[in-house]
Amino acid sequence: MLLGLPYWLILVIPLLGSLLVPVVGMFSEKLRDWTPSILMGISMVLCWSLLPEIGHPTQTTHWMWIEVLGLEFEVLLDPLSVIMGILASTLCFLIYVYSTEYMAHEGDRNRFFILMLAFGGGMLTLVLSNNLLIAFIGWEIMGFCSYGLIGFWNDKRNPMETEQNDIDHTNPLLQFETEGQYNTHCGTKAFIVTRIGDAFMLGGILILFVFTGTFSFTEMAADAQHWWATMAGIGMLVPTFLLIFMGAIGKSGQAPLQVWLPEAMAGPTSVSALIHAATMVKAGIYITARFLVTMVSAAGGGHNGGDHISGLQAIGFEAALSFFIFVAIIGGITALMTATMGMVSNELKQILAFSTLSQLGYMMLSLGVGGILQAEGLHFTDAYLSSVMHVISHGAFKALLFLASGGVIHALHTKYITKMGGLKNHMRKTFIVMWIGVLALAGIPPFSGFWSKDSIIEYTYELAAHWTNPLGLVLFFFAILAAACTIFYSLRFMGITFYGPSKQSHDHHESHDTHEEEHSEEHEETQEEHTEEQHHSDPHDPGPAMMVPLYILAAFTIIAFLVFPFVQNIVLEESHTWAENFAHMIEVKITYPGIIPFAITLGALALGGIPGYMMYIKGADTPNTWVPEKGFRRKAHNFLKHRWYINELYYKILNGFLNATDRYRVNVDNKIIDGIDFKSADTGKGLATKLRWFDDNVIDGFAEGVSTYSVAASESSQSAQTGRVNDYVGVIMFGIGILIIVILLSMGVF
Amino acid sequence: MLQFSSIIDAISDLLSPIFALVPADWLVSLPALTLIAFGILSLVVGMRTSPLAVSFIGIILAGFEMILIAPGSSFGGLFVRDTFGDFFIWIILVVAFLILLSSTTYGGNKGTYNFLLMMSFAGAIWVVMATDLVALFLAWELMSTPTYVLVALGPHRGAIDGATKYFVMGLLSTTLIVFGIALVYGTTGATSFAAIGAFVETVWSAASPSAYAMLLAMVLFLIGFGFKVGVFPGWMWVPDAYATADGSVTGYLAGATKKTGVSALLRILLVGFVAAQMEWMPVIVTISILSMVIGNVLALSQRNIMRMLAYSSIMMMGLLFVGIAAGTAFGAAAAMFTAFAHALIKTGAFILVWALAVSIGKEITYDDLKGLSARAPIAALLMAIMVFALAGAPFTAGFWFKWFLIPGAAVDAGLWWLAIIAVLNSVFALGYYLRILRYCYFMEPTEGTTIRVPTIPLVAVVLAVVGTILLGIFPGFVLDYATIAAGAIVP
Repeated sequence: MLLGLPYWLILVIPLLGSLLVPVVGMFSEKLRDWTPSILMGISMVLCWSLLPEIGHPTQTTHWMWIEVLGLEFEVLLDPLSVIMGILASTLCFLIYVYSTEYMAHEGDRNRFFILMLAFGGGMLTLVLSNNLLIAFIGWEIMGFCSYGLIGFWNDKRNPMETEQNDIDHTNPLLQFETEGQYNTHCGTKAFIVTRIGDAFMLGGILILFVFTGTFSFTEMAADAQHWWATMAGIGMLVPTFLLIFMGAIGKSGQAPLQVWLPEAMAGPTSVSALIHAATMVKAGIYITARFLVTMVSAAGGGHNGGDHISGLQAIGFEAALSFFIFVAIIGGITALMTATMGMVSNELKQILAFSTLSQLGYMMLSLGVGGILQAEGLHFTDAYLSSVMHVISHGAFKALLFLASGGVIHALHTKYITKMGGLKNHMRKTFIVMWIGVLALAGIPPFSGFWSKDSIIEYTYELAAHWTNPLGLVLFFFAILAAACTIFYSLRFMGITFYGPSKQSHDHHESHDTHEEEHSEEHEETQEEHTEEQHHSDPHDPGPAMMVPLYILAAFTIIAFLVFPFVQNIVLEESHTWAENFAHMIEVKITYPGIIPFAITLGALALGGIPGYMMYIKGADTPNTWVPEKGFRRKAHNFLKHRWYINELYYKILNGFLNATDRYRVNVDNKIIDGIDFKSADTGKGLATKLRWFDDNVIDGFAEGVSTYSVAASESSQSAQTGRVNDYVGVIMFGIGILIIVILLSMGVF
Repeated sequence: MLQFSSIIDAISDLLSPIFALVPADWLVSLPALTLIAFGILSLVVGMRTSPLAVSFIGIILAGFEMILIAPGSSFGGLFVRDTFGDFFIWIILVVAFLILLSSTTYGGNKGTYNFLLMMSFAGAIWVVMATDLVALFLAWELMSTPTYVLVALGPHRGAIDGATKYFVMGLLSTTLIVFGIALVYGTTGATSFAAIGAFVETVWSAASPSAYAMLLAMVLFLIGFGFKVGVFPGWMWVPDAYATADGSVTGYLAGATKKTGVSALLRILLVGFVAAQMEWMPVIVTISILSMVIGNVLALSQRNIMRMLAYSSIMMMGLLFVGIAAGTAFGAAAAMFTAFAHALIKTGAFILVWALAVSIGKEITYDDLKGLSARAPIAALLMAIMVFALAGAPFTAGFWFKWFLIPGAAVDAGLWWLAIIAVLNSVFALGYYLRILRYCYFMEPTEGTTIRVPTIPLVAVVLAVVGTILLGIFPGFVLDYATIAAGAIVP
């Protein structure tokens, strides 16, 4: 690495540096805000300098951590890790720079920047670790930081911002008094939902460890056939990987755990960008991709594909076929389902969140398709490559979109697009970079999103064409339909936000209120002047610290097609020239059979794009009447608006469960176990009466003695004792019975 | 520790004339005898002034004697100091030290209080040293009897209620233990664990009908000793006694006496009844699952923090039983590691909550924790670390014991489904742990006044927290010791 520094510095700098943030904050506020950027910048440079060392590290990569367990920390320098490391550190760097201005007027920035920096450190730990256990630690660090960051604005005094088209929730769990409660709830929700996945993942990791005897990815991969065949032989292979994949589902927000991500928008915009573009959600993709690569080499598939069943191999990669079918289906469903949800949402960031989910679905789909192709005897590499490409291009354009929309929200102080409009004249620069991001998101050539997304669709088509299973066609259909939805909602939010009449200028007063509510509490006197100045002026482009990262990301989005040939060489460890790769990239699109999916995709883009353009950009000045008050369209609209009712279903179940435990508390716990009061004593007496036959026969004298004692000992609670200690003793007697039955059963008596 | 061994040898050579004064048969029990002596001394001193210093000297002296006196047997082999016993003695001494620090807030008759505590410590040390059922029973009573009174010495009248329940249940469990000992003696004619182990082995290989009597005795032991551990079916006294007793006593009950129960059960099961492993494993699994579920479900709806922690202790002990259920050396080592970690975390947590309760002047409920980060930042931070440790966050001791227990059960004994239940339960437990964090850090305080937490108990909590974190970063130190210790009794 650069200057011969040890590799572990890359992740130790942000992780330990996060503790440094408040210390710096004691000396200089300004320097404190820039500390994360500086430290992450160092990590970024170090990450980039790993590029020439892929596959052949120049220094030791092992450090013993806990000797008894043989647990060591090892840095993994393979293409996937290094690419993800570079992507994560670079995006984190840009987002931290952006945050210095975006968060400049918020209170409690110590907490914010500590968590931000630790977040980046967690991601780098995850992607650069060669040890599954340590990767899992990084995974959990991110989980915790996301919890803290999403709920960052936890001030309980701001009322909720509402919008006329909002859905009214009847569930008490979904009703929030204030913005702070809502935000805290969202953070907790993200944490808990991802923890559900993590619990399964932990189980999967442990089962995998039982069979492989190692946590190291490279050892798993090198130990070809041994554990693979054993696990496949007893049918544990697919269940184990499904358990691990549950973790990825949770983190990457795949169906059915997609519910947390739209709510994760409650945090500051730079947090959303961090979660969506650089870290958190990419972790699930990374771990799935990591297992795809590891599984391929463990099963002996290697990079030459095709001949995956050689003489020695009793069980090859095809044993994992059903796992990858599962991955592909989850990916396909997520891509389509969340894209449809995005078509009706009215929150700017929430639309972007849905689009993230949808793009993540594409990546999962692509990984699944790669696995299926490999199992069917074709190459997995191309689909895997497109997935990695999409991670990169999505990372860039999604960061771009989030940061730009953060500027919009910052300027207008509302998160609803219905309250925006006509911004193209006020925020010219933001408007332009936003268009670039949207075109990339929609997959319009030659922007970055086109190259990666179209090749995902292409290999899905290849699967559909080669695979006898009609599922391939369904997946292809999902991917195409999702592409159509994507361009529709992209144009929709662009149109509503930037075109049409300006709604902001007419209700200046309301803007004032909202603004006051959002900000005044946290920094009452100090920022008074600033807020005054801001709300009297028209919405305007943000300053340089926010714009420069946007320009860099926009530039990358435009010239991505010049970069991808390099990436291809790195990821596939090939040695083609740039021109060869570039020519191949274009050639695939315009020759048979690649032209068929390309043409279909263009058709889909037209299908979604033309109505989108007509309704929201061309017809931006006329009110939209496409969704009437009643009828089928309104029903469909509501269905999507309620996010397919999945989220609400979870809450309903949760609420039911909470009610049940509450009933338990009120009916059983309070009355029998809790506190010393006469009501509970009465209930205890009642129970005691019911247990009387037991007392009379078994423990009568004993119980009498007990109650006499307690009368003497404690007059105030005497009446409680008679019932309750009997009760306890009864439980012990009951327990003896149960345990004796268990032991007799285990001896085979019954 | 190797580099210290020469120094230790030199010091013990120096002190050998003093040790020579003690009858050779008593020498190994000297730590416990010291505690008794200093207990009586503190009773005398306590007539005039606070005897806390005397107690401290006793504990520290006992610790030195542990290091200086080589393991061996005493009282004709009834009480033996092997590595297994030593491990638990260290737990007891560490907890005892923390408890004494916290006892500075105690407002009642200090002489009696210290005397009872010291007697109970000595009994606890003998419990983990006992290799004979009768000796175990004697030590058990020496440990338990003072605690009944200690619980009753709590600050308000509710303590009497808790103590009564504790006492009645304790009486019942004692009866069960005596009944079990009678059964064992009647069947085998012996009371030492080794002799019982040999007898059980012949019975099991011969499939003789006296197996039923032995198994009945074993179930009675499980319930009798499990009562002190606070697992199914004898868990019900735990929240009542814990929530009403003086917090320091609660810390002692949760930190040390629970662990002596674990030690007694480990010795009985893995030495006395090792041949019957296939029979007791399902029972332990049943106890483990029921304790986890009961502890979790009841903890979730609690408002009182002491009660919540008591229920979470029940859940933790259920988790610990996963390691016992595995019945292997690693399972036992994992259980012992858990015992150590749990002793540190729970003692610290109880002391902290009690210190808060003392400063506010009422029982701590969630509402009292609102905005604690503003009212008492240091206490809030310590609380947060404790909660993280309980929830099993990385870099705390709580993270590791799940890693040791769950693979220990899943890998070695094939109890993977138990492992899954344990994982699900520990996830469920987040529900009430994280709530504390939410109240401490994300809620507005109802009162603006700062809370002045007494310093010395806070020092004890800081020690426990530091220990927890050190154990989280270097778990190997304790795990190695636990592995050696478990190897001493598991064949």
